[in-house]
Amino acid sequence: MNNPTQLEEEYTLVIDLGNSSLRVGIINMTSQEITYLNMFNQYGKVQTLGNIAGDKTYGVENCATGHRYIVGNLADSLIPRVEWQLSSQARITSKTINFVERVFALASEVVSQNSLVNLIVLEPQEAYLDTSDIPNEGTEINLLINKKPYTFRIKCVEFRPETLGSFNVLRNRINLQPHEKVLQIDVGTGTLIASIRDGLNNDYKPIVKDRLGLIHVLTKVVALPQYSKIAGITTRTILNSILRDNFVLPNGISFKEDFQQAVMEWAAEIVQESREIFSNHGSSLSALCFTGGASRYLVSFLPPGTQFVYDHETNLRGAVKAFLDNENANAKN
Amino acid sequence: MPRTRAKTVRKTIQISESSYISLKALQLALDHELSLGKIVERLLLRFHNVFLEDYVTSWTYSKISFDREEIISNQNSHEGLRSKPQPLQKEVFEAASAPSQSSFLETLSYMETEIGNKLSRPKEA
Repeated sequence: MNNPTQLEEEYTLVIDLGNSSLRVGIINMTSQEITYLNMFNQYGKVQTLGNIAGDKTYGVENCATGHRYIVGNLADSLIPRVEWQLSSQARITSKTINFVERVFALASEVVSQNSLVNLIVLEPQEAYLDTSDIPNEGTEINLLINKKPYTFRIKCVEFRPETLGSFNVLRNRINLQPHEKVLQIDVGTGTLIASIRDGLNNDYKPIVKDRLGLIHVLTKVVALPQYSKIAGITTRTILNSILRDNFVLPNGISFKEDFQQAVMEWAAEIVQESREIFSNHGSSLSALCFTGGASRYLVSFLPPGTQFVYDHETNLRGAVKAFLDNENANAKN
Repeated sequence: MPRTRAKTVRKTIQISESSYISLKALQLALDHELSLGKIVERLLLRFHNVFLEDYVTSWTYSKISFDREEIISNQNSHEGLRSKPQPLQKEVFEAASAPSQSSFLETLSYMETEIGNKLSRPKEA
């Protein structure tokens, strides 16, 4: 068991906080061991946490504010549940859970109880951040996580472009020339981020469309009269079925055809957005590329040879790789 | 595989689904030469409320896809499994030979045509 009086260990947490999930890459700065952990949110719906089979719940008490939370659900079959007395705050939305409590609850799976922590936060752009929620350098955070005391000292906080990780994968595949510009469309469950990229790593301001991720499709399907009248059918229900690839609701009704129809309308909106971006940049954009887990649903509309990176966590893993590459280069110099 | 032992494996995994899959269950399953894919598949059948795809690719798969020897050597230590370093997806970051990518406008035109074709296609009975 870890002891709070132990010498501090240092970790870097690379954090990708999306609408549907929180993903954290945890790097032990001594051993350079990496652990990836995911915590899933229920998109757009208030949820009672801890009632989903196979999940782990985290009870977190913020020692500074006295606030007590049940945080997230970690789809982790290896770790047993933790009992925690629920307060009236048991019902929370993904947006109202404090950033610190969520991230560190998840990180507590790996980091020791007395740790020095660097935070690398992936966000589409600075203006998008609620920085009041993110601790400053030098802050000491004291939390009881599942009744164990943790002290985290924040050494360093950095923000990095969210979709650069997957773009670095694309860059290799399309052999991007220094002055060539392409449009990268990163499609998540909630958000679509359109970023102009070039071979010189210039930083162009991305265009963020909050509801043009896969949620656009899910919302349309849920709103159809044949489903909206069924109790308990939410965007999450639809999403779970899609991810199981069976397109069947718990009551046995298939919604595949309606889903495909909604995907077509969604793809048409993405085409329209892309045309607008193109018209604003003249003929300087040479190609259109797609990243993000939800971009797989667009494949059937795209010409052969169009480049995709729809592996999960690529933005996170790319950022972790870039961080380690940089660390190793610095160590050599 | 003896019938009784097979039942044991199934029962252990089913019990574990409600809370967690124990290392013992994994070891038993491996002893009975259930493939990792089968184990995951059986578990997934029971998980209706998690993001299954993420679950497989990002978490469970990486957690149980170590060598059998490692599982056995770590059988009394969850910590040993949890702290196992996760490899970067090297294949993802390696350059792939690129088929020709359409130009920006070609891609948009192709998409519009495809969407138009599919929208105008009569629905299957």
